Amino acid sequence: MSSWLVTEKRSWPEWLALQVLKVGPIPKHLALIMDGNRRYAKLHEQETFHGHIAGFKTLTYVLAWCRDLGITEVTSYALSIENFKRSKEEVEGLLSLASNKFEEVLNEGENLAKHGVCIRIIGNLDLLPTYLRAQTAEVVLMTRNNTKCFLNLALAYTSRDEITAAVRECAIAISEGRLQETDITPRLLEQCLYTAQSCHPDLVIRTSGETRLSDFLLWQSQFSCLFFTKVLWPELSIWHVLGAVFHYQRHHHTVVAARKQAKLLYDRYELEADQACSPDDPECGCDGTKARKIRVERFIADLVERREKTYHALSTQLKEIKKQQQESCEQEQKSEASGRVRVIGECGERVVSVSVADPSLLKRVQQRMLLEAN
Amino acid sequence: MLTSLSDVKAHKTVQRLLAYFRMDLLLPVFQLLYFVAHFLVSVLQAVYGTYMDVLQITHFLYQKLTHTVHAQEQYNEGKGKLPEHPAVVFLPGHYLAAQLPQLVSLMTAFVKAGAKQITLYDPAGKIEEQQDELLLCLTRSLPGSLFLLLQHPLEQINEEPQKEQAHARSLVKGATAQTPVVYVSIVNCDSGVRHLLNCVRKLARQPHSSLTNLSPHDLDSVLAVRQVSNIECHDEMSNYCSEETSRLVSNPSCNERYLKNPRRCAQSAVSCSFVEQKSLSCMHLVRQQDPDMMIVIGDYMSSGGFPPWGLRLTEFAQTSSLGRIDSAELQNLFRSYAGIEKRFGR
Repeated sequence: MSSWLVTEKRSWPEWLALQVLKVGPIPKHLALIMDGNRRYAKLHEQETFHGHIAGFKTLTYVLAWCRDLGITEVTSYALSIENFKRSKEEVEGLLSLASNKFEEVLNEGENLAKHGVCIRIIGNLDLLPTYLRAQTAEVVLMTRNNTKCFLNLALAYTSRDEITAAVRECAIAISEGRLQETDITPRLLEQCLYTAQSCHPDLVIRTSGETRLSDFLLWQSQFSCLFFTKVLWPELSIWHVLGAVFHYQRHHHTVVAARKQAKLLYDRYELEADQACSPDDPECGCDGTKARKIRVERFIADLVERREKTYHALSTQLKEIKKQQQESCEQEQKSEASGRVRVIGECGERVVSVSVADPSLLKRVQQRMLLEAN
Repeated sequence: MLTSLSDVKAHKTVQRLLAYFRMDLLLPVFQLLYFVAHFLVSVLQAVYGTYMDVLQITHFLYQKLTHTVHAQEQYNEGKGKLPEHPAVVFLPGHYLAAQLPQLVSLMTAFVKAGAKQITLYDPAGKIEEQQDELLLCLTRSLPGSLFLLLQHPLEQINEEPQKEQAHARSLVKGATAQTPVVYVSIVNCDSGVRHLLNCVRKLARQPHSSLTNLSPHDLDSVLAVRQVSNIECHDEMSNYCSEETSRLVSNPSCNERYLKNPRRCAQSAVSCSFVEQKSLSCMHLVRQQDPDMMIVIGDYMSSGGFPPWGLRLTEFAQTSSLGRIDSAELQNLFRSYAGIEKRFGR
């Protein structure tokens, strides 16, 4: 069973390159668009599912390289809302792969705590199946106290959906009177995004030669350094990542200067919002700025609390589902003992004895066998 | 990854060296190597400047040989799609006022390739200061086209943009139903943010039930609306004469800016009908399409603060300066764009 945390020794050229690069500025936050899994599978005359498995392996290696480089935050575009348009088979395969990998995360909680890895899920979780949604919530809650490095997985995510959700929250708050129209600033909108707890990515890498963002972190990557490389995602090597970091270092000062200009612009919006709060307003009292700050803090706290409640509710749901699964497993074992369920499946070259009551689950079981074999 | 015994031995040797020399003594060596690497790449870029830029453009342009040939065939047969809405983004410090003629020639090339809308993004706002001159030069280079400037939207949405376009054409002397209309949008880093904030405030006035079901498509239909105002159109350029100048200056309907700058009036070959039309403001709304292609003028690839909502599927290209994009490079860009396969998530 593959782990999320891979440790490998570096060859001396890799080690030397790492040490040289670490002299310069290292991006704190790296965003990855993992494109090219299906083309990789096609090149190697394999099924699409194998391409995605190879893609996951590469992700684990990239996380290890980032830890060696000192990159503390990585955001990865795992599943777009647009990907749901793919064939039902492929979508189910992707979701089952995700479910399997989250199950591994839940089993290696201690290892993740030891390395200080915090996993966050960004995206519209309502679009995911119930079990996967519950698993993501459990993973987030389990790793929330780890603070050394952060992995943000974009599942059922598009940037437009994210911005729309933030706009919706703000607009509803205004209509309900919890916020005023003048309270809306770019910083407030950013605090309503799924990535509110993260800083903006410094470097965005997209593989497979495509040169577009495909609705990924559009707001957050406005001033990021974009790096497009032709290599397919499963074929990505440490040298490609080092090359991207080197490219970032060459333009680091320009990126920082552009970010400073943006900060000045955002500060201006905050000032305008403060000035728009009239001291004669009975709600404001004598200090309009303070009143606005209180309103905004209450709104954000309310939003965070709602999201927390959702996570806890999903976590409870996961425990119930697991309990039900365990009970049904015990029942099946009893049934097998009584000889009522027989072998019905094969997986590759192995003959597998599987107690599966419902034949429609056979394919899912086969995929699981394949994952465990890898 | 260590794959052989010699690698393992080499690794052990390195570890022993580290322990012997101490890491802090090796740090200056790494620093030196770091600066040497950056210096070498800078020298390469200075000596082979075009080479480095062409590499970057070629990286965007280069596909597998069969794909490139296919794109060429599609382009030649006119089947490949050309960008209808290209955007040109200038990263800070990469646009000078003196580069206006180069910008005009680039935009002319886009229009000739079939672009219906062009967006220019300049965080410093220099293009916005030159917008009149830009439109004037565009009309001089393409007298058969009608250029309309897009600005921030109004509250009311116009349901019949084509009717308004026809109305705009009717106001312009010499324009016919076949006169192509090209929208020009000049954006700065404030535009996208302020527009989004205004949309949030506008949405907050809607009923609560419609807000809870707000989808990206709904937000897109609010954000994408733009106002067209101040029709900038020029008739065929005629030779300027002193009588014409005095007539313009004395005409009360002349734009105040031109009155204050008679030298500009004298130098620009503008007929009186243009000045009369310039004072008209045709307020109608059109739906702005997302940019198909974005050419970033700067040292690295970045959207540079361009309003993010429209960049969902925009293809990026990058070059270090405006002057480096000649007609051959542009043809390569279009050829490559024609061959791009957009999967839309599938």
